[in-house]
Amino acid sequence: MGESLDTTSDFTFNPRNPELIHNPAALFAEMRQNGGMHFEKSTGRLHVFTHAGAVATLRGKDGSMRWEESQTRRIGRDANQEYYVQAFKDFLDMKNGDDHRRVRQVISKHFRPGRVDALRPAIERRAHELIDEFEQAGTVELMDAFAKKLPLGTISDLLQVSHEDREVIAGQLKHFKLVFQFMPLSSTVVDELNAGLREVVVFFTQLIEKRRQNMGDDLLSDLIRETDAGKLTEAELLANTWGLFAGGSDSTAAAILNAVLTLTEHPDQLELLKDDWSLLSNAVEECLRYDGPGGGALRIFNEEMELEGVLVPPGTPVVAYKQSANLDPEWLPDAGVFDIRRKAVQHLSFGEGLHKCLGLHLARVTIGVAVQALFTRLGDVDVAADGVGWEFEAVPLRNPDRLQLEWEPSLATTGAR
Amino acid sequence: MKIIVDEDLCQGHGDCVMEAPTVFELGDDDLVVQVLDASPSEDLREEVELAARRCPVNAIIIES
Repeated sequence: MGESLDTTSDFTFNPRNPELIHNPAALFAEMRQNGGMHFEKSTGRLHVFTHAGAVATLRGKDGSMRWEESQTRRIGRDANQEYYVQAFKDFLDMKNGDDHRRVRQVISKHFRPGRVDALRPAIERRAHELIDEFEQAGTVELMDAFAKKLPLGTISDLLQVSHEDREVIAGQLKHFKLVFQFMPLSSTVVDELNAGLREVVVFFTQLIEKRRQNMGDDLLSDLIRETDAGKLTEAELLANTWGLFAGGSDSTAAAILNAVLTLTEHPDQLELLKDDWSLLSNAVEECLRYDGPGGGALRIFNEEMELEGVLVPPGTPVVAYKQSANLDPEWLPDAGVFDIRRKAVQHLSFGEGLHKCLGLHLARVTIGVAVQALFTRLGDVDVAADGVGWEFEAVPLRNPDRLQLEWEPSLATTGAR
Repeated sequence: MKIIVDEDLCQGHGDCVMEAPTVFELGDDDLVVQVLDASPSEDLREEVELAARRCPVNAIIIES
Protein backbone atom coordinates (compact mmCIF):
# COMPACT_ATOMS: atom_id res chain seq x y z
CA MET A 1 0.00 0.00 0.00
CA GLY A 2 1.11 3.56 -0.67
CA GLU A 3 1.50 6.32 1.85
CA SER A 4 -1.05 9.03 2.55
CA LEU A 5 -0.85 12.50 1.01
CA ASP A 6 0.21 14.11 4.28
CA THR A 7 3.54 12.32 4.13
CA THR A 8 4.51 14.06 0.87
CA SER A 9 6.90 16.98 1.10
CA ASP A 10 5.46 20.14 2.61
CA PHE A 11 7.80 22.16 0.45
CA THR A 12 5.94 25.23 -0.77
CA PHE A 13 5.31 25.70 -4.45
CA ASN A 14 3.87 28.89 -5.88
CA PRO A 15 2.51 28.24 -9.40
CA ARG A 16 2.68 32.02 -10.03
CA ASN A 17 6.37 32.31 -9.16
CA PRO A 18 7.98 34.49 -11.88
CA GLU A 19 11.00 32.14 -11.70
CA LEU A 20 8.81 29.79 -13.75
CA ILE A 21 9.48 32.25 -16.57
CA HIS A 22 13.04 33.32 -15.79
CA ASN A 23 14.63 30.07 -14.65
CA PRO A 24 12.13 27.20 -14.61
CA ALA A 25 14.81 24.49 -14.83
CA ALA A 26 16.34 25.40 -11.45
CA LEU A 27 12.97 25.67 -9.73
CA PHE A 28 11.73 22.37 -11.17
CA ALA A 29 15.00 20.64 -10.23
CA GLU A 30 14.48 21.81 -6.66
CA MET A 31 10.91 20.47 -6.64
CA ARG A 32 11.98 17.11 -8.08
CA GLN A 33 14.77 16.80 -5.51
CA ASN A 34 12.28 17.46 -2.71
CA GLY A 35 10.23 14.36 -3.30
CA GLY A 36 8.86 15.17 -6.74
CA MET A 37 5.34 15.68 -5.40
CA HIS A 38 3.95 18.41 -3.25
CA PHE A 39 0.54 18.47 -1.59
CA GLU A 40 -0.63 22.03 -1.10
CA LYS A 41 -2.84 21.91 1.98
CA SER A 42 -4.39 25.37 1.45
CA THR A 43 -5.84 24.51 -1.97
CA GLY A 44 -5.99 20.73 -1.68
CA ARG A 45 -3.96 20.37 -4.89
CA LEU A 46 -1.25 17.80 -5.50
CA HIS A 47 1.60 19.07 -7.71
CA VAL A 48 3.59 16.44 -9.62
CA PHE A 49 7.04 17.20 -11.02
CA THR A 50 8.63 13.88 -12.08
CA HIS A 51 8.37 12.33 -15.54
CA ALA A 52 7.04 9.03 -14.18
CA GLY A 53 4.50 10.82 -11.98
CA ALA A 54 3.34 13.10 -14.79
CA VAL A 55 2.92 10.19 -17.22
CA ALA A 56 0.95 8.21 -14.62
CA THR A 57 -1.25 11.24 -13.93
CA LEU A 58 -1.99 11.98 -17.58
CA ARG A 59 -2.56 8.33 -18.47
CA GLY A 60 -4.71 7.62 -15.41
CA LYS A 61 -7.81 5.83 -16.66
CA ASP A 62 -10.59 7.78 -14.98
CA GLY A 63 -8.82 11.12 -14.87
CA SER A 64 -10.57 14.19 -16.28
CA MET A 65 -10.57 17.97 -15.96
CA ARG A 66 -14.06 17.93 -14.38
CA TRP A 67 -14.77 21.04 -16.36
CA GLU A 68 -17.63 22.80 -14.52
CA GLU A 69 -16.37 21.82 -11.05
CA SER A 70 -12.84 23.05 -11.80
CA GLN A 71 -14.09 26.37 -13.17
CA THR A 72 -16.23 26.92 -10.09
CA ARG A 73 -13.10 26.43 -8.02
CA ARG A 74 -11.15 28.90 -10.18
CA ILE A 75 -13.63 31.75 -10.24
CA GLY A 76 -14.96 31.28 -6.72
CA ARG A 77 -18.65 31.13 -7.65
CA ASP A 78 -21.03 28.82 -9.51
CA ALA A 79 -19.42 28.55 -12.94
CA ASN A 80 -22.41 26.95 -14.67
CA GLN A 81 -23.90 30.38 -15.30
CA GLU A 82 -20.81 31.64 -17.08
CA TYR A 83 -21.01 31.92 -20.85
CA TYR A 84 -17.49 30.56 -21.40
CA VAL A 85 -18.16 27.49 -19.27
CA GLN A 86 -21.23 26.60 -21.32
CA ALA A 87 -19.50 27.41 -24.61
CA PHE A 88 -16.46 25.25 -23.83
CA LYS A 89 -18.23 22.20 -22.49
CA ASP A 90 -18.70 20.68 -25.94
CA PHE A 91 -15.06 21.21 -26.90
CA LEU A 92 -13.03 18.03 -27.27
CA ASP A 93 -10.70 18.61 -24.32
CA MET A 94 -13.60 18.98 -21.90
CA LYS A 95 -15.31 15.79 -23.07
CA ASN A 96 -14.86 12.44 -21.39
CA GLY A 97 -15.46 8.75 -22.01
CA ASP A 98 -17.43 7.64 -25.09
CA ASP A 99 -18.37 11.23 -26.02
CA HIS A 100 -14.72 12.19 -26.12
CA ARG A 101 -13.83 9.18 -28.23
CA ARG A 102 -16.65 9.82 -30.70
CA VAL A 103 -15.76 13.49 -31.22
CA ARG A 104 -12.04 12.79 -31.37
CA GLN A 105 -12.47 10.12 -34.05
CA VAL A 106 -14.41 12.51 -36.26
CA ILE A 107 -11.76 15.22 -36.04
CA SER A 108 -8.50 13.31 -35.71
CA LYS A 109 -8.47 11.72 -39.14
CA HIS A 110 -8.03 15.20 -40.62
CA PHE A 111 -4.75 15.59 -38.74
CA ARG A 112 -3.08 12.27 -39.58
CA PRO A 113 0.48 12.42 -40.94
CA GLY A 114 -0.67 11.76 -44.53
CA ARG A 115 -3.13 14.66 -44.54
CA VAL A 116 -0.65 16.92 -42.79
CA ASP A 117 2.11 16.17 -45.34
CA ALA A 118 -0.24 17.38 -48.06
CA LEU A 119 -0.41 20.76 -46.29
CA ARG A 120 3.35 21.20 -46.13
CA PRO A 121 3.87 23.02 -49.49
CA ALA A 122 1.28 25.65 -48.54
CA ILE A 123 2.89 26.10 -45.11
CA GLU A 124 6.32 26.54 -46.71
CA ARG A 125 4.95 29.03 -49.22
CA ARG A 126 3.29 31.07 -46.48
CA ALA A 127 6.45 31.05 -44.33
CA HIS A 128 8.53 32.45 -47.19
CA GLU A 129 5.92 35.06 -48.10
CA LEU A 130 5.88 36.28 -44.51
CA ILE A 131 9.69 36.49 -44.43
CA ASP A 132 9.64 38.41 -47.77
CA GLU A 133 7.87 41.19 -45.88
CA PHE A 134 10.63 41.79 -43.35
CA GLU A 135 13.90 40.24 -44.47
CA GLN A 136 15.35 43.55 -45.74
CA ALA A 137 14.41 45.38 -42.54
CA GLY A 138 17.15 43.71 -40.50
CA THR A 139 14.85 43.44 -37.50
CA VAL A 140 11.43 41.99 -36.73
CA GLU A 141 9.12 41.24 -33.84
CA LEU A 142 8.65 37.59 -34.68
CA MET A 143 5.42 36.85 -32.80
CA ASP A 144 3.19 39.33 -34.62
CA ALA A 145 4.93 39.31 -37.99
CA PHE A 146 5.45 35.57 -38.34
CA ALA A 147 4.79 33.08 -35.52
CA LYS A 148 1.10 33.93 -35.08
CA LYS A 149 0.40 34.30 -38.79
CA LEU A 150 1.90 31.00 -39.96
CA PRO A 151 -0.28 28.51 -38.02
CA LEU A 152 -3.27 30.86 -38.14
CA GLY A 153 -3.05 30.83 -41.94
CA THR A 154 -3.11 27.03 -42.07
CA ILE A 155 -6.08 26.52 -39.77
CA SER A 156 -7.95 29.46 -41.34
CA ASP A 157 -7.54 27.93 -44.78
CA LEU A 158 -8.72 24.54 -43.46
CA LEU A 159 -11.81 26.14 -41.92
CA GLN A 160 -12.32 28.74 -44.67
CA VAL A 161 -11.98 31.74 -42.37
CA SER A 162 -11.27 34.76 -44.60
CA HIS A 163 -8.13 36.91 -44.46
CA GLU A 164 -10.13 39.89 -43.17
CA ASP A 165 -11.64 37.91 -40.33
CA ARG A 166 -8.88 35.60 -39.07
CA GLU A 167 -6.83 38.02 -36.96
CA VAL A 168 -9.91 39.69 -35.47
CA ILE A 169 -11.33 36.33 -34.39
CA ALA A 170 -7.95 35.16 -33.08
CA GLY A 171 -7.81 38.33 -30.96
CA GLN A 172 -11.18 37.54 -29.45
CA LEU A 173 -9.81 34.13 -28.46
CA LYS A 174 -6.70 35.55 -26.79
CA HIS A 175 -7.59 34.02 -23.40
CA PHE A 176 -8.11 30.54 -24.90
CA LYS A 177 -4.93 29.13 -23.33
CA LEU A 178 -5.88 30.36 -19.86
CA VAL A 179 -9.01 28.22 -19.94
CA PHE A 180 -6.91 25.04 -19.82
CA GLN A 181 -4.95 26.14 -16.78
CA PHE A 182 -5.99 25.68 -13.17
CA MET A 183 -5.09 28.97 -11.46
CA PRO A 184 -7.79 31.43 -10.31
CA LEU A 185 -9.21 33.65 -13.05
CA SER A 186 -9.77 37.34 -12.33
CA SER A 187 -13.21 38.80 -13.01
CA THR A 188 -11.65 41.00 -15.70
CA VAL A 189 -10.35 37.93 -17.54
CA VAL A 190 -13.69 36.12 -17.11
CA ASP A 191 -15.56 39.16 -18.51
CA GLU A 192 -13.19 39.42 -21.48
CA LEU A 193 -13.38 35.68 -22.06
CA ASN A 194 -17.19 35.75 -22.07
CA ALA A 195 -17.40 38.83 -24.31
CA GLY A 196 -14.84 37.49 -26.81
CA LEU A 197 -16.50 34.09 -27.01
CA ARG A 198 -19.93 35.63 -27.66
CA GLU A 199 -18.48 37.28 -30.78
CA VAL A 200 -16.64 34.12 -31.78
CA VAL A 201 -19.79 32.00 -31.46
CA VAL A 202 -21.81 34.43 -33.63
CA PHE A 203 -19.04 34.42 -36.25
CA PHE A 204 -18.69 30.64 -36.42
CA THR A 205 -22.46 30.03 -36.34
CA GLN A 206 -22.71 32.17 -39.49
CA LEU A 207 -19.64 30.55 -41.05
CA ILE A 208 -21.16 27.09 -40.56
CA GLU A 209 -24.51 28.26 -41.97
CA LYS A 210 -22.83 29.70 -45.07
CA ARG A 211 -20.79 26.55 -45.54
CA ARG A 212 -23.89 24.39 -45.30
CA GLN A 213 -25.27 26.19 -48.36
CA ASN A 214 -22.06 25.65 -50.27
CA MET A 215 -20.33 22.44 -49.22
CA GLY A 216 -16.85 21.54 -50.46
CA ASP A 217 -14.17 18.99 -49.64
CA ASP A 218 -12.67 21.06 -46.82
CA LEU A 219 -12.41 20.26 -43.10
CA LEU A 220 -15.45 22.33 -42.12
CA SER A 221 -17.68 20.76 -44.79
CA ASP A 222 -16.62 17.33 -43.57
CA LEU A 223 -17.44 18.19 -39.95
CA ILE A 224 -20.86 19.45 -41.13
CA ARG A 225 -21.45 16.19 -43.04
CA GLU A 226 -20.51 14.19 -39.92
CA THR A 227 -22.96 16.31 -37.91
CA ASP A 228 -25.74 15.75 -40.43
CA ALA A 229 -24.95 12.01 -40.23
CA GLY A 230 -25.46 12.12 -36.46
CA LYS A 231 -21.79 11.74 -35.41
CA LEU A 232 -21.60 15.19 -33.80
CA THR A 233 -24.28 17.34 -32.20
CA GLU A 234 -24.74 20.90 -33.50
CA ALA A 235 -23.23 22.20 -30.26
CA GLU A 236 -20.19 19.94 -30.71
CA LEU A 237 -19.76 21.07 -34.32
CA LEU A 238 -19.75 24.70 -33.25
CA ALA A 239 -17.48 24.36 -30.20
CA ASN A 240 -14.95 22.22 -32.02
CA THR A 241 -14.86 24.47 -35.07
CA TRP A 242 -13.79 27.54 -33.08
CA GLY A 243 -11.84 25.27 -30.72
CA LEU A 244 -9.74 23.92 -33.61
CA PHE A 245 -9.25 27.47 -34.88
CA ALA A 246 -7.87 28.61 -31.53
CA GLY A 247 -6.09 25.39 -30.58
CA GLY A 248 -4.41 25.19 -33.97
CA SER A 249 -2.77 28.58 -33.80
CA ASP A 250 -2.02 29.84 -30.31
CA SER A 251 0.18 27.09 -28.89
CA THR A 252 2.08 26.59 -32.15
CA ALA A 253 2.95 30.30 -32.26
CA ALA A 254 4.44 30.08 -28.76
CA ALA A 255 6.32 26.90 -29.69
CA ILE A 256 7.86 28.61 -32.76
CA LEU A 257 9.16 31.42 -30.55
CA ASN A 258 10.50 28.98 -27.97
CA ALA A 259 12.28 26.97 -30.69
CA VAL A 260 13.88 30.04 -32.30
CA LEU A 261 14.94 31.35 -28.90
CA THR A 262 16.41 28.02 -27.76
CA LEU A 263 18.38 27.61 -30.99
CA THR A 264 19.80 31.15 -30.86
CA GLU A 265 20.84 30.49 -27.26
CA HIS A 266 22.74 27.35 -28.40
CA PRO A 267 24.80 28.53 -31.40
CA ASP A 268 26.75 25.26 -31.65
CA GLN A 269 23.51 23.31 -32.03
CA LEU A 270 22.17 25.85 -34.53
CA GLU A 271 25.35 25.45 -36.61
CA LEU A 272 24.92 21.67 -36.59
CA LEU A 273 21.39 22.09 -37.85
CA LYS A 274 22.29 24.61 -40.55
CA ASP A 275 24.99 22.22 -41.78
CA ASP A 276 22.62 19.27 -41.89
CA TRP A 277 18.92 19.94 -42.25
CA SER A 278 18.19 16.22 -42.04
CA LEU A 279 18.41 16.86 -38.27
CA LEU A 280 15.37 19.13 -38.46
CA SER A 281 12.67 16.81 -37.14
CA ASN A 282 14.98 15.71 -34.29
CA ALA A 283 15.71 19.36 -33.55
CA VAL A 284 12.00 20.22 -33.39
CA GLU A 285 11.38 17.41 -30.88
CA GLU A 286 14.35 18.48 -28.80
CA CYS A 287 13.19 22.13 -28.79
CA LEU A 288 9.75 20.96 -27.65
CA ARG A 289 11.29 18.82 -24.92
CA TYR A 290 13.93 21.22 -23.69
CA ASP A 291 11.77 24.33 -23.66
CA GLY A 292 8.20 23.54 -24.60
CA PRO A 293 5.38 25.82 -23.48
CA GLY A 294 4.99 23.41 -20.54
CA GLY A 295 2.41 24.49 -18.03
CA GLY A 296 0.53 22.34 -15.57
CA ALA A 297 -2.11 19.86 -16.73
CA LEU A 298 -4.97 19.22 -14.30
CA ARG A 299 -6.57 15.83 -13.72
CA ILE A 300 -9.11 14.74 -11.12
CA PHE A 301 -9.75 11.04 -10.48
CA ASN A 302 -13.03 9.39 -9.52
CA GLU A 303 -11.32 6.58 -7.66
CA GLU A 304 -8.42 6.46 -5.27
CA MET A 305 -5.18 5.99 -7.17
CA GLU A 306 -1.60 5.29 -6.26
CA LEU A 307 0.86 7.77 -7.70
CA GLU A 308 4.58 7.21 -7.13
CA GLY A 309 3.83 5.28 -3.94
CA VAL A 310 1.37 7.84 -2.56
CA LEU A 311 -2.37 7.22 -2.22
CA VAL A 312 -4.33 10.04 -3.84
CA PRO A 313 -7.91 10.30 -2.55
CA PRO A 314 -10.69 10.54 -5.17
CA GLY A 315 -11.52 14.12 -6.13
CA THR A 316 -8.01 15.49 -5.46
CA PRO A 317 -6.95 17.98 -8.15
CA VAL A 318 -3.60 16.68 -9.46
CA VAL A 319 -1.41 19.02 -11.52
CA ALA A 320 1.30 17.48 -13.69
CA TYR A 321 4.08 19.86 -14.72
CA LYS A 322 5.04 18.83 -18.24
CA GLN A 323 8.14 20.98 -18.53
CA SER A 324 9.51 19.63 -15.24
CA ALA A 325 8.88 16.08 -16.47
CA ASN A 326 10.75 16.85 -19.71
CA LEU A 327 13.81 17.88 -17.69
CA ASP A 328 13.77 14.97 -15.21
CA PRO A 329 17.21 13.28 -15.06
CA GLU A 330 15.68 10.19 -13.44
CA TRP A 331 13.99 9.61 -16.80
CA LEU A 332 16.64 11.05 -19.14
CA PRO A 333 20.09 11.23 -17.49
CA ASP A 334 21.35 14.22 -19.50
CA ALA A 335 17.97 15.94 -19.62
CA GLY A 336 19.59 19.31 -18.86
CA VAL A 337 21.57 19.18 -22.12
CA PHE A 338 20.07 20.57 -25.33
CA ASP A 339 21.17 18.13 -28.05
CA ILE A 340 19.42 18.09 -31.41
CA ARG A 341 21.13 14.80 -32.32
CA ARG A 342 19.28 13.04 -29.53
CA LYS A 343 16.96 10.32 -30.77
CA ALA A 344 13.43 11.57 -30.12
CA VAL A 345 12.32 10.79 -26.57
CA GLN A 346 8.89 10.70 -24.97
CA HIS A 347 8.56 14.33 -23.94
CA LEU A 348 5.23 15.53 -22.61
CA SER A 349 4.92 18.86 -24.41
CA PHE A 350 1.97 17.53 -26.43
CA GLY A 351 0.45 16.05 -23.29
CA GLU A 352 -0.10 12.34 -22.78
CA GLY A 353 -3.01 9.95 -22.43
CA LEU A 354 -6.48 10.29 -23.92
CA HIS A 355 -6.20 14.04 -24.41
CA LYS A 356 -2.77 14.07 -26.04
CA CYS A 357 -2.64 16.84 -28.65
CA LEU A 358 -4.60 15.92 -31.74
CA GLY A 359 -2.75 18.41 -33.94
CA LEU A 360 0.76 17.34 -33.04
CA HIS A 361 1.80 16.27 -36.55
CA LEU A 362 0.67 19.62 -37.93
CA ALA A 363 2.43 21.45 -35.11
CA ARG A 364 5.68 19.56 -35.76
CA VAL A 365 5.60 20.32 -39.48
CA THR A 366 4.76 23.99 -38.87
CA ILE A 367 7.53 24.49 -36.30
CA GLY A 368 10.03 22.72 -38.59
CA VAL A 369 9.08 24.79 -41.63
CA ALA A 370 9.31 27.98 -39.54
CA VAL A 371 12.76 27.16 -38.14
CA GLN A 372 14.22 26.14 -41.49
CA ALA A 373 12.79 29.11 -43.40
CA LEU A 374 13.92 31.68 -40.82
CA PHE A 375 17.46 30.43 -40.33
CA THR A 376 18.13 29.80 -44.04
CA ARG A 377 16.74 33.17 -45.13
CA LEU A 378 18.02 35.57 -42.46
CA GLY A 379 21.64 34.48 -42.04
CA ASP A 380 23.05 35.03 -38.54
CA VAL A 381 20.17 36.01 -36.28
CA ASP A 382 20.55 37.65 -32.88
CA VAL A 383 17.97 38.34 -30.22
CA ALA A 384 17.76 42.12 -29.63
CA ALA A 385 18.71 43.50 -26.22
CA ASP A 386 15.62 43.12 -24.00
CA GLY A 387 13.99 41.46 -27.00
CA VAL A 388 12.02 38.70 -25.23
CA GLY A 389 8.62 39.29 -23.65
CA TRP A 390 6.63 36.79 -21.59
CA GLU A 391 2.96 36.44 -20.87
CA PHE A 392 2.95 36.62 -17.08
CA GLU A 393 -0.79 36.13 -16.89
CA ALA A 394 -0.40 32.62 -18.30
CA VAL A 395 2.15 31.37 -15.71
CA PRO A 396 2.76 28.46 -15.01
CA LEU A 397 2.40 28.22 -18.79
CA ARG A 398 5.70 29.56 -20.10
CA ASN A 399 4.51 31.51 -23.10
CA PRO A 400 6.74 34.03 -24.86
CA ASP A 401 4.66 36.77 -26.47
CA ARG A 402 7.39 38.90 -28.01
CA LEU A 403 10.72 38.10 -29.68
CA GLN A 404 12.66 40.87 -31.38
CA LEU A 405 15.27 39.50 -33.79
CA GLU A 406 18.10 41.31 -35.58
CA TRP A 407 20.29 40.36 -38.54
CA GLU A 408 22.39 41.95 -41.27
CA PRO A 409 19.99 42.52 -44.22
CA SER A 410 22.76 42.31 -46.82
CA LEU A 411 23.39 38.71 -45.70
CA ALA A 412 19.75 37.71 -45.98
CA THR A 413 19.25 35.38 -48.91
CA THR A 414 16.31 36.61 -50.94
CA GLY A 415 14.83 33.94 -53.11
CA ALA A 416 16.80 31.09 -51.56
CA ARG A 417 13.81 28.80 -51.70
CA MET B 1 5.99 -12.48 -29.74
CA LYS B 2 2.32 -11.78 -30.35
CA ILE B 3 0.86 -8.29 -30.58
CA ILE B 4 -2.69 -7.30 -29.67
CA VAL B 5 -4.12 -3.80 -29.96
CA ASP B 6 -7.05 -3.15 -27.63
CA GLU B 7 -9.41 -1.42 -30.06
CA ASP B 8 -11.58 -0.10 -27.24
CA LEU B 9 -8.61 1.84 -25.93
CA CYS B 10 -6.85 2.82 -29.17
CA GLN B 11 -7.71 6.33 -30.35
CA GLY B 12 -5.39 6.40 -33.34
CA HIS B 13 -2.74 8.68 -31.85
CA GLY B 14 -0.18 6.88 -34.03
CA ASP B 15 2.84 7.04 -31.73
CA CYS B 16 3.40 3.30 -32.29
CA VAL B 17 3.62 3.85 -36.05
CA MET B 18 6.57 6.17 -35.53
CA GLU B 19 8.39 3.59 -33.40
CA ALA B 20 7.63 0.43 -35.39
CA PRO B 21 6.43 1.38 -38.88
CA THR B 22 6.74 -2.17 -40.22
CA VAL B 23 4.42 -3.49 -37.51
CA PHE B 24 1.77 -0.77 -37.11
CA GLU B 25 -0.04 1.35 -39.66
CA LEU B 26 -2.54 4.17 -39.39
CA GLY B 27 -4.22 5.09 -42.66
CA ASP B 28 -5.86 8.49 -43.09
CA ASP B 29 -9.30 6.99 -42.64
CA ASP B 30 -8.51 4.37 -39.99
CA LEU B 31 -10.13 4.99 -36.62
CA VAL B 32 -7.73 2.65 -34.83
CA VAL B 33 -4.22 1.42 -35.56
CA GLN B 34 -3.86 -1.55 -37.90
CA VAL B 35 -1.42 -4.32 -36.99
CA LEU B 36 0.50 -5.24 -40.15
CA ASP B 37 2.43 -8.05 -38.53
CA ALA B 38 0.86 -9.57 -35.41
CA SER B 39 3.75 -12.02 -34.87
CA PRO B 40 6.88 -10.06 -35.77
CA SER B 41 10.34 -11.56 -35.57
CA GLU B 42 12.43 -11.22 -32.42
CA ASP B 43 14.74 -8.59 -34.00
CA LEU B 44 11.78 -6.20 -33.83
CA ARG B 45 11.22 -6.76 -30.11
CA GLU B 46 12.97 -3.57 -29.01
CA GLU B 47 10.99 -1.43 -31.46
CA VAL B 48 7.69 -3.07 -30.55
CA GLU B 49 8.30 -2.74 -26.81
CA LEU B 50 9.12 0.92 -27.28
CA ALA B 51 5.94 1.35 -29.35
CA ALA B 52 3.91 -0.25 -26.55
CA ARG B 53 5.54 1.97 -23.91
CA ARG B 54 4.96 5.08 -26.01
CA CYS B 55 1.24 4.38 -26.55
CA PRO B 56 -0.48 7.25 -24.71
CA VAL B 57 -3.43 5.06 -23.74
CA ASN B 58 -1.62 1.73 -23.06
CA ALA B 59 -3.55 -0.01 -25.85
CA ILE B 60 -0.74 -2.31 -27.07
CA ILE B 61 -0.31 -5.71 -25.43
CA ILE B 62 2.69 -7.92 -26.15
CA GLU B 63 2.27 -11.59 -25.33
CA SER B 64 5.40 -13.65 -24.57
